[in-house]
Amino acid sequence: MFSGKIANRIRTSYRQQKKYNLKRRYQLRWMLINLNRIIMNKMFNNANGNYWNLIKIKVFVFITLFVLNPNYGNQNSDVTMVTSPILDVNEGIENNLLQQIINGIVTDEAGIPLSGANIVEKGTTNGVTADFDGNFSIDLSDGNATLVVSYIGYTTKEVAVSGQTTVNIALEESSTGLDEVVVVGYGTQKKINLTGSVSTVQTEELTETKAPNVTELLTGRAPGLFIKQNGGVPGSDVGELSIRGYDAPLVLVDGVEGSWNRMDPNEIESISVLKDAAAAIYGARAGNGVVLITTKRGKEGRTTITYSRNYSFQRAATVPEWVPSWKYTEIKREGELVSGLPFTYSEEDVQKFKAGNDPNYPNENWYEATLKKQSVMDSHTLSATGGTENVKYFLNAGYLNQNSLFRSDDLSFGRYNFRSNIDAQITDRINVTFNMAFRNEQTDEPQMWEIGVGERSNGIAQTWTQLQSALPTLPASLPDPTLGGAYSGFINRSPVANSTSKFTGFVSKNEKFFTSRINLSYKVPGLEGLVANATLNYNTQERFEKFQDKVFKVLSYNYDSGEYTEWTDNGTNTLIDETSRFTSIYPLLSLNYENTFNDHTVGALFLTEGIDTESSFLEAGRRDLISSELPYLFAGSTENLTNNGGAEETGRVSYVGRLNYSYLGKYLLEGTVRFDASHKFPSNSRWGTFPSVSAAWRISEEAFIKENATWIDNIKLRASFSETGNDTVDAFRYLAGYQILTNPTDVYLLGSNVYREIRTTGLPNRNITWLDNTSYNIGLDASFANGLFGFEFDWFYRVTDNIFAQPIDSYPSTFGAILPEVNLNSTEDRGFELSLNHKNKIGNDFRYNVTGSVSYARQKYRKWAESPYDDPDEIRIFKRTGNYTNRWIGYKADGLFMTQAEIDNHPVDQDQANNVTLRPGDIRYLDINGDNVIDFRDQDEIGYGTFPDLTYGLNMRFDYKGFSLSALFQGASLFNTYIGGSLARPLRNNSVPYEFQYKYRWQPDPQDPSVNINPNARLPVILGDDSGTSINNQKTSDFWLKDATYVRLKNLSIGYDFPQKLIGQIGLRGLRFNLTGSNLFTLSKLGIYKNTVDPESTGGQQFYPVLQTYSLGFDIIF
Amino acid sequence: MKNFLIFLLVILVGCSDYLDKEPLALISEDLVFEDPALTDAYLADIYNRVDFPGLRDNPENTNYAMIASMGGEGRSYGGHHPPYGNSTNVITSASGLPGLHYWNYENIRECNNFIEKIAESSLNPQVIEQRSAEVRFIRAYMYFQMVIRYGGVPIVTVVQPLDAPEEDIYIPRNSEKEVYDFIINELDAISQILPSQPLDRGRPSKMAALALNSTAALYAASIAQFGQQQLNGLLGFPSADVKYYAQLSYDASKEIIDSGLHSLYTKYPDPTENFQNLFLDESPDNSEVIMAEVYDYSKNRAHGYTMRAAPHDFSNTFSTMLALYDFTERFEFADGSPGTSISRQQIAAQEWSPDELWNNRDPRFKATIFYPESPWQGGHVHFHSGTLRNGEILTTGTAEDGWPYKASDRNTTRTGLMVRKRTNESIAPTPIFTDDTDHIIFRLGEIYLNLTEAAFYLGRDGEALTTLNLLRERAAMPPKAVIDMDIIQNERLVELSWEDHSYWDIRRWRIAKELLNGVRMQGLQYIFNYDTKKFKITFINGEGIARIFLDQNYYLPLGVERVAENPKLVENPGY
Repeated sequence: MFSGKIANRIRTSYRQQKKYNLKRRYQLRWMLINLNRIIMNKMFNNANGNYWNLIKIKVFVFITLFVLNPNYGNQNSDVTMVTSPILDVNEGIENNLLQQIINGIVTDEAGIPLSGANIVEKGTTNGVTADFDGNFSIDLSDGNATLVVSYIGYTTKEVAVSGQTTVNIALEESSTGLDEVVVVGYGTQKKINLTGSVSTVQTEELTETKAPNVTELLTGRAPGLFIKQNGGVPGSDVGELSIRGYDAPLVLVDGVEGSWNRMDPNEIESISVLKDAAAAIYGARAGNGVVLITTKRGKEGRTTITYSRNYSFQRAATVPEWVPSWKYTEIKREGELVSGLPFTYSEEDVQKFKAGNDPNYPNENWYEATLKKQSVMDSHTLSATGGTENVKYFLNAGYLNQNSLFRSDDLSFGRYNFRSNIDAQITDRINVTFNMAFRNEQTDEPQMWEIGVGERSNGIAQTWTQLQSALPTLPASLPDPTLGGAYSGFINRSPVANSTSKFTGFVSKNEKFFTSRINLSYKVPGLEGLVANATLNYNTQERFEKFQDKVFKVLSYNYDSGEYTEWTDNGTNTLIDETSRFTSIYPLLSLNYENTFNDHTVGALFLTEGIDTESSFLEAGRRDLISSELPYLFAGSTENLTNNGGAEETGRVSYVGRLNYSYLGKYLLEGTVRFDASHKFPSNSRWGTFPSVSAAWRISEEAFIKENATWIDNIKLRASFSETGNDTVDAFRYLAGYQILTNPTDVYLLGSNVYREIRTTGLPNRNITWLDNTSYNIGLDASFANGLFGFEFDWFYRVTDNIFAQPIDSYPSTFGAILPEVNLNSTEDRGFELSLNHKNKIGNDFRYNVTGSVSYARQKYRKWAESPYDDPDEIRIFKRTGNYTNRWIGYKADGLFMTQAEIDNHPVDQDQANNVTLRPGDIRYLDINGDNVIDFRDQDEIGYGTFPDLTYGLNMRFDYKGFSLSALFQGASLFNTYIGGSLARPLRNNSVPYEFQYKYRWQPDPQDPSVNINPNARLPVILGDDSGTSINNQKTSDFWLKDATYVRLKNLSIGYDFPQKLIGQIGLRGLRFNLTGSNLFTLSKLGIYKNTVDPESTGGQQFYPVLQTYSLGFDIIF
Repeated sequence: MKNFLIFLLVILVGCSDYLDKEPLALISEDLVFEDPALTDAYLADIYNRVDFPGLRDNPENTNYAMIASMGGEGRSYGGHHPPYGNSTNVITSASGLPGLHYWNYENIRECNNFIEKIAESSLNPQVIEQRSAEVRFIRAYMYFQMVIRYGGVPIVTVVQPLDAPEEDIYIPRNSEKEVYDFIINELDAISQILPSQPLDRGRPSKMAALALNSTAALYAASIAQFGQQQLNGLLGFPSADVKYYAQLSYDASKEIIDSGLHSLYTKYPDPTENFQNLFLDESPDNSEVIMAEVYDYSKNRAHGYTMRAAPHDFSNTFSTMLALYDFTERFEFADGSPGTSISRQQIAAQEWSPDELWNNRDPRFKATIFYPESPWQGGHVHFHSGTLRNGEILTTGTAEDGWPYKASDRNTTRTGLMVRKRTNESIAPTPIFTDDTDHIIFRLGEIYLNLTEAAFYLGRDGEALTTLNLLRERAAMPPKAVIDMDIIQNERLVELSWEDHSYWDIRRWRIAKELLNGVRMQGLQYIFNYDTKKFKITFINGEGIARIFLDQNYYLPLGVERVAENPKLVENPGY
């Protein structure tokens, strides 16, 4: 009556598999026993106990054998095979051949197959999963059974079979997200069961952003996580990451610390941000929160191959606008007039520059001569995923090339990366996961370091320093460009030449990251729900750096005489090679238990781990290379050669326990405790205990809501308490001693003898220990009307004790010692996060989702060791205890003195010299204490720090048929940017003024420089003596401290998925196009500075800018 | 499977190793004082942290001009450089004074630690005595650097423990007199220990101790003579102390001169060449040098003096040390007539050749200052901002004889004069620090001037005059017939110019306010007349603003923060 054929097929494949499993199990067993024997022998024969290297090798042998195990190949031959029924079902089949077979397909509403969907016969353990195309086939014990069909992210559906043999099931996407599973510390949890504060970012969001690095990916994606971009230098465009305004959090990739920011976004499955007690399981490193990056794993089903390409144009988000040559000469004359100095340019010169028809009076734009309007970033990714019930794999290879705005093209970043994540079910009880990843990063820069005697400074910033002083009155190019760089007006600077490797030499940095991980989990027989896990992580990093500094000429050219003037040479003909390596071994053992007894669900975890790292470096340099074309050490002179090296070891051991309890999924309780020990601390204070407790009450599960208010999907109240730590302190501060100074120039000569120098490391602190964080968090999550509206709210309070600090303020400077870092100070943070979500579907095709979020956090000094201030002004200005940490102290400006009479009649002695040094156009300051003198006592709080207290974001996504549109806005408030350097002091150190400075300058009347003739004058008088503006105007004041509030369209993405029907005909399974833009526009409160200063860039506009990116990408799925 | 778990458990057992890490580069204190090589390495760091050349807060070496700028000899090129800022701005308690302040209690603690620890070590007793005396010299030198800035400062001679009672840690200032007495007493004691000739160049000898003693006592004598007591005696001396300190200074100077171990440098017959080489000659027979800090580029110890001082076109970088015309007026003409005998009006009124204005000066002028057409590295230094030829001022290109119509921008745009003293012509222009000329800390010329001044305070005018004329004779300048304070001051400022003395000298003589306050020092601009081969000179403001020197500036402020952190520290008056 039913198809015996299919039943036979299932049986056959099952037997094959069983036989195969058996064989493999024996192979493996043999292998392991032997491996173990070898290792044990070696260990006991090696009395020194230095068997680590041996273990490393053996583990690799093991891993290698394991990978080469020919399991996958055998099975894969049967690609047409319907996904194997799961084990329990097979048992059922063997026992009961009287069944009805139902075939069907599971899709989403749009008809896209849901591979991996679960189909279970209701009330039994009989179930199957759908294959890649959504097909399933299930033998039912009863023709009138009901199928329960579920898939993550979709609402579970029950379908009565009612005698049909074919059932097609369309699942609706779940709007509530209630069954979402999130990665938490050492495991996963259903979001609904979380008791802590966790934000997650999922893979689709990540890959649509098309960002070159992970921090950019994360920007604006998780409430409470703020990332401030600092500029877009290829290879080091890393933003500062902060959870709730804290210092840098711990970031783990698949559980391991390491270099993460530049990994391929296509490798990432999800990112979880653990904010409160959820982070506490990481103990001593978790004080600032934890970010967990999880890589993708294979999915059962037919092999899916995805090729993605993304091609981007990048431009500067803000381009500094310097004045043209005639305006420059005009301002220069004005400054010299005010300062009573001789004029560098005559009035006639100004006119010639303005006329612009004499080649000796050009108007040069050095920015454009040095930098392109846009650069290109290109990435390719090829990934494959698939597998059988027993072996699943995710393979990925990526390539990224990011060019820079440098016209020379000599600044660039390139990366290629490989990853193989394999999951293997070895027996019904043993599961193995195996990850191996390799990444190669290459950064090339023109040599822009100032190489002194053993010292280097500046780097890429040097180009901006040079642009700042490059006079528009001088041409940026020479008739013969091979001779050298064009002189830019300051000693021997030439930004064009300086950004070109041909002239300056190069810096080449190559970094290789290898990470590997094997995890073995074993379902312990005898106790249902108990799983033992053993993991070994092994990571290495190598870094090679080469600096070549060349000698090159800077020249200027005279168009009248046709002569070149040679300025003194740049560069030193030096070569430096550096190599460093880092290795870490990180084993981990755990027991995990989870079971449900009637209404009680219990979970427990016990875990122990250790981390051992070692690193070393070697550096060598030579001068006077025979030829600059031979950038190798052997080509250098044997005189003045330098070399250096060093090594470091670190270690950590931890024990971790966690208990979960849930009653009817209504009352949830979780407790964790971690014991951490670090090599950094003395044995008496080495161990720290870090407990946490968190609880949640799902109010919506209570009968009075569940029965009365069906429009409520979920209301959950959370509360947590945790103690975590932070050990970001130098190791061995508990020992007193002397250190050899390692810089080659740290020598002293007495007679003809060279003495190396040693210096005390300072007073020891024999009791130094962790920094403690105590956090409290209360949260409320809610979702209504099947996800139509929802919100998540968290309030938090954190106390940080034992902050390492030198008790410098409690000892006067005459004490004279490098004071020990003591666990001394205390701060407190408080704030909240709120995110509101609205999700809707109009008709069958239009869906949208809007999430808005706001985070606020501010930190206070709770207890700070400081001087015993007794003077009320000193208390007001200097005292920290009880005050916010990000107060900005300075003078309060009261506009400008417009006339000499105003100065003469000013009752306040502003310069402590009876105002004789003041002149019209200087800033007037408020005499806060009313003593008629401006001194340090007239300072007060004038603003916030540079990291925002308030951040907000708006995330929107619209889907219509195959189209999607998403937009991400991010903004921040309650922070300041200080307008400093040349932004405040035009002409300082040869600086070329900006257009805004020209427009708003104090403009002296040529007849009387004490009179201003610019009605727009808003900026202080410019001096011609190279200081830019007087010392009076350089006081830290709110004249220069600007509210940097901004809102920025961080990301806008338009995508189109070609319909299945269309592309199926050409053999594709998916095709998607994407058009993405980032940092497209910005609104800021920076006023006259907004076109020059990027609100996100801490250094104003003196460095490589934040970039605007336009990219076009496509994904092809085979 | 069981085996695999055992295998992993074994790994975990190994974890106990994880925590037993050794600091791979830490040397224990016991070892430092048992191994002479380590003791010397520690001592080397103590020497280095004295900062003899005065380059604190300034890795780029642009602070060389600091004391000269403060004293009105010159300025730094950059208006944003600390020497310019400190010398032209109003000094307040909050000024910070980068590169000028000196509050080196960190190194004083190291000195105290060294002295305490080496005394207990098992090293050779002679080594212990010698090294200990060297460190006491360094400590006295650092206290001298502090007392000349701030007046009385707290004297700390022990290593204060962390758990010392509060009254031992929050200590008040000693009086200026106490600090000078401490320095003088220390030097008296260690000059009995140190050898007459230094064990190595760079280490202090008995003569170096006497030299510092002579200078410190002279400072005390002059402050007693010209200053006032303030803050209940915290600052200043009773005027009765003049002769007491003058005698101490005189005795120390006399002992150096009479020892015969040092003599004035006279190796070169040409006085200009001789005066230049005095600062460059590192051979043992340059016995004018009493103490010098040693540099050697091939041993990775070099500085940027020549590179920072040398004029543009020759130097690779900043050409940062500019001389001001006002100070150069102190240099007499070769015939002994005052430097002002050609007045500024006269200078501005006609054209001048270098021979008429510069080459006929005190030979020390030519060795101290770069002026138009100074010879340098096989060429000539140009300062002119244009060339007048056929009635037209040319500023670009060169004449057929190679004359550049305009000098390099950097030489034309400031004061038109630069500092040549201590520059080394043999240093090739490279952008790295390769100058390894030794830095002279004390030389006999200074001791002659100390003796002159001390003798004058003691009423021994004749001896003062003779000693002064010995120095003038070496410089090939005609002798003075009479002596007075002005002559002593002028000779000292000229002979020791750009050697980090002027600011301290004009302060202790209490003439700084008169010389500096409200004064805007002048620079020169030149137009070269191609036909007459002479320069048309225009006076320009050499500084962007007028200088301010107020009464309180005879002492520097301790600073808001130091006073705030220790309520027992009293700020100097007027701040």
